[in-house]
Amino acid sequence: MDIQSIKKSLEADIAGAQSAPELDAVRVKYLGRKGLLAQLTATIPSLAVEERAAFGKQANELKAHIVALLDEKQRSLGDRAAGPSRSGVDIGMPAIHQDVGRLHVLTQIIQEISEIFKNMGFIIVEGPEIETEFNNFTGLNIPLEHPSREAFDTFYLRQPAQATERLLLRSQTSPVQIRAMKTMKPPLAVVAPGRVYRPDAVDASHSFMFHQIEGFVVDRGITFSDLKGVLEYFARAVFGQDIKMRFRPHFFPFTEPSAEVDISCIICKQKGCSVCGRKGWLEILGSGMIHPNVFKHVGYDPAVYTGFAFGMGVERIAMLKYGINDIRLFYENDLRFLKQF
Amino acid sequence: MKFSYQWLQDFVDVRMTPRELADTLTMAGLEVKGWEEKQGDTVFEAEITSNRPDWLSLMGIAREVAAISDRAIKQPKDWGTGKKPAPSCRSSAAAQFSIDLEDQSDCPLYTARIITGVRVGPSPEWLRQRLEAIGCRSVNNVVDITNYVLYELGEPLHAFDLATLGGNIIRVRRARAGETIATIDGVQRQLSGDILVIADENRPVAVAGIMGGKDTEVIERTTDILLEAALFNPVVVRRGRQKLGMQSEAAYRFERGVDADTALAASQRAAAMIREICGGTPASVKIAGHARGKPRSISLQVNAVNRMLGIGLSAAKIKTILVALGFTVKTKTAGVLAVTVPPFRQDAQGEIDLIEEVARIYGYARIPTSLPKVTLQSAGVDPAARIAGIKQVLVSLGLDEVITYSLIDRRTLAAEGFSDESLIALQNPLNQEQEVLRPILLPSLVRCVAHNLRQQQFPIAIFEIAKGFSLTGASVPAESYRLGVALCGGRQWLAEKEYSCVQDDPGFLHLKGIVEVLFERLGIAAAEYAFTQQDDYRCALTVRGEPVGALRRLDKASLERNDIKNREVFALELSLASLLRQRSSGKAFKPFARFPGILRDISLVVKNDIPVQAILDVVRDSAGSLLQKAAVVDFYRGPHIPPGHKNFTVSCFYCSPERTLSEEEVGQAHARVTAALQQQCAAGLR
Repeated sequence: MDIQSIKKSLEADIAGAQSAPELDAVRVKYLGRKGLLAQLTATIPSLAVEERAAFGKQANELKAHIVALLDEKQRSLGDRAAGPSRSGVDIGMPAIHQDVGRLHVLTQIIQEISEIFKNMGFIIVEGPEIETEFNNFTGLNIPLEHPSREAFDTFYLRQPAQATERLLLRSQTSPVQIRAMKTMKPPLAVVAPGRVYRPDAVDASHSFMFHQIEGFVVDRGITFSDLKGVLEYFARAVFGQDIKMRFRPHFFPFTEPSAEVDISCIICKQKGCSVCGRKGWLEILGSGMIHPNVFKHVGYDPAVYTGFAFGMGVERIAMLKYGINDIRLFYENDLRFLKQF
Repeated sequence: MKFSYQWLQDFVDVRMTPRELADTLTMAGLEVKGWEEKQGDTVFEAEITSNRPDWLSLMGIAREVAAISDRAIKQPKDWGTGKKPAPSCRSSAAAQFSIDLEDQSDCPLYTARIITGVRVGPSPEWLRQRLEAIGCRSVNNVVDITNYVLYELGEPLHAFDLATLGGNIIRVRRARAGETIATIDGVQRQLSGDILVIADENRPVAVAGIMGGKDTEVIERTTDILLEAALFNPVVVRRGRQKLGMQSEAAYRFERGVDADTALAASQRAAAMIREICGGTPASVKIAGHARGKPRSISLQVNAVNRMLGIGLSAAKIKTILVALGFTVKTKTAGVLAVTVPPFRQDAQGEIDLIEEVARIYGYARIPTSLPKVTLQSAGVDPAARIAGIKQVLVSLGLDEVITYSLIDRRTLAAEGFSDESLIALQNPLNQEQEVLRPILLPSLVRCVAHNLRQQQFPIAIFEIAKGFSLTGASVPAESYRLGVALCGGRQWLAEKEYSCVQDDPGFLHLKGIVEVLFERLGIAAAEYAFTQQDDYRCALTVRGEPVGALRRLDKASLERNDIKNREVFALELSLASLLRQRSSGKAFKPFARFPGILRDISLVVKNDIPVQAILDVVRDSAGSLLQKAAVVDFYRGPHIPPGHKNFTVSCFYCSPERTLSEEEVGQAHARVTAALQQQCAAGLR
């Protein structure tokens, strides 16, 4: 047979092969030791010398063509659902497995962030959700009758008869600073995650209960430049090495100088989108150098120690990271939500 | 606060585009949230932090722009500086007037300027446009001028119709019980002793620092006015406003603080504008109180700046920055600056406030980054890591973690048997649904189950670890971690053999399984805890005799309350705090037998009321030391068994760590077991 007729018969044979054994037979017919291709190359010595090279080349091309067609067919046969084996094993049947549950996405974020700070040498502590007015406000340099309190609307508890101090649900995790500094001595590098509460009516972006992560470092010689270094390391670890960052002056009663920290919008890459309000920046946390008045409240000498503190909303980080558009989803606990993370 | 680009140019030459201006101010801490083009002008919306009341005016913003861009402040000539207020003119005929300050701590300064012969009418177009661009409604020329100056200088002014004031006197006093006032927003308001008012001889005519009265406001037919520029105690204004439930631009500024110089300058500026626009004659000014104290002086160490910021600024550089912001700076000694605070910067109280100013203007972006040298410290017990470990076990058991609200309603808890007095309630709840702190998690978990059932999400296997809150008699209520689990609906799968359907509906034994695995991981041995089945719906759990929680099957009433139909819900709630107390810290290796053991089954029939635990106890007690393990491997109740009886198969594994056992030894032990079962459990053998 010449090359053209081999090609023609090959196409017909391959189209006709409906199973792996049939395809194997086709393979032998063409590529076998006594197959059509072997017969073809056996004729080479009989050719004129000047024709041999060109014919050899054509034969090689034919071989490649045959291999390609066979392989392709092999793949297409493989794609088709495999039939049950002789003993009835059918891998297409539903899998049997032990179900494994999932941690809530907020827990995952808290654990991820805690881990980053633990690796830097921070310890994790927790504080109570019921706090005193002193720890939540006064100790943090937020005077009773001051407009700065307005940013911290707070749930107060009906006073139990035995209460000696006015009690509230902490509106921030910052009171952990006061507790930790009162019970431990510097050097301190602490992270404190937890639930916080503010009387905000629930909607897509507000919740009366949410989570914060507080962190702070106190020692001799801690500087604003340390604050920048630590928070930059953190933000890159969570949001990626290629983000841009900026530290913007702000006011918090318990830190001074204070800074809000923005990262370049991870959604639009600063091209402008609705999430960053076309500004190109996303605010991710508040921070600053711990105010000397806070040190005075816990009995540290501000002339000896300096420190920085920071706090962030866990829901906000999760919403940015995963594109979650409604804060209520976190507390509705729909399995279709929980199982995505 | 809104401000416009063109208006700002009155005070400082802005050589930046609106966008550059917005960015520059934002990076100096005056955050521009957005801006819009309006009739050839740009109107910015800025968020002013509560420490910077001086930024609540164009003048304040202009000072900031001037400091950042190294330009001078422009000040129209006709303002007067406010530094030398005209003395009160007793000689003037119109100044029969007197001011009575009941308590100077409520009102440190009150100035009343009388202007006669005013023609009240619409404002000129430019004035109206400027106000309307920033969202301030135009009223009439006099009122508009007071507002205009408020936005320019930050001092709230008020104009009274002089003819409506009785008795030639202004009294700044606390309201008396029973007094009322109709404010210019048309609302009749009940006053009380903690509210400061401006009164004439007979009645309150304004709520001090918050809003004027309706019947003394300046209207079309007004000819003579009394222009008030005053300072009020921020706390008194704030309390009064909260009590009356009001908001106003004036109160917003008084609460944050206004200074005397600004008040006096504003009064002069407004008087000049009224004369020019409304044609009045400023007749006299009366001043009561003296608000201006000695300027504050702060000592600033150059080292302190650099120690805090981690940079190396020179005294000269620091001085330049502070002077540009309006501070007066003198060098005290080498490395120490004496800084005098301008009156409009009442927020600058100490050294740290000046350090912040230096950092802000120097630029946060120019401060380098570094990592602190952390001294290693003992982390001690990490409670979060323990909780995380427990969560990991629960997740590996197929449970999904949920997070539910700590606040709940009273009714749900009442149904669980909690009395009202036992609950910790909020003083200011948002609503009844979130009124008390929950002592237990279970109701919240059942709600999660109900939600998912409504959404056709099934099967449900969830857990939560969160605080439970309770009154203990201590001064602060107790809060401690609890674990809740809820199961609803079984897993279903096709067994590989014959592809028959396996349906695994949850029940008490599934809950028991979760407890067993968890306790094993916590190091609480099987011998240390006990389940006590109390009825069809409840099984108590104790660890070393201490109650730690219960396994529950929800009764019909609870299911109905949650609108769960045709479904069973099994749940578990434990005090995690108790478990963590009970957990054993260490593990020790126990050698295991490598000699082969012998397995013997025993099948027995007992009365229905004999619990399986009793049978296993008898087996263990009677078998002797060779018995390694005894387990129920089969159970049957039905035909072939006498009514009221049940059939168990107990599998006994005998083994010795020292030798291979002989059939004979095992036979003896097993015979003892058989005999004991027959005797003590009245068991029949099969």
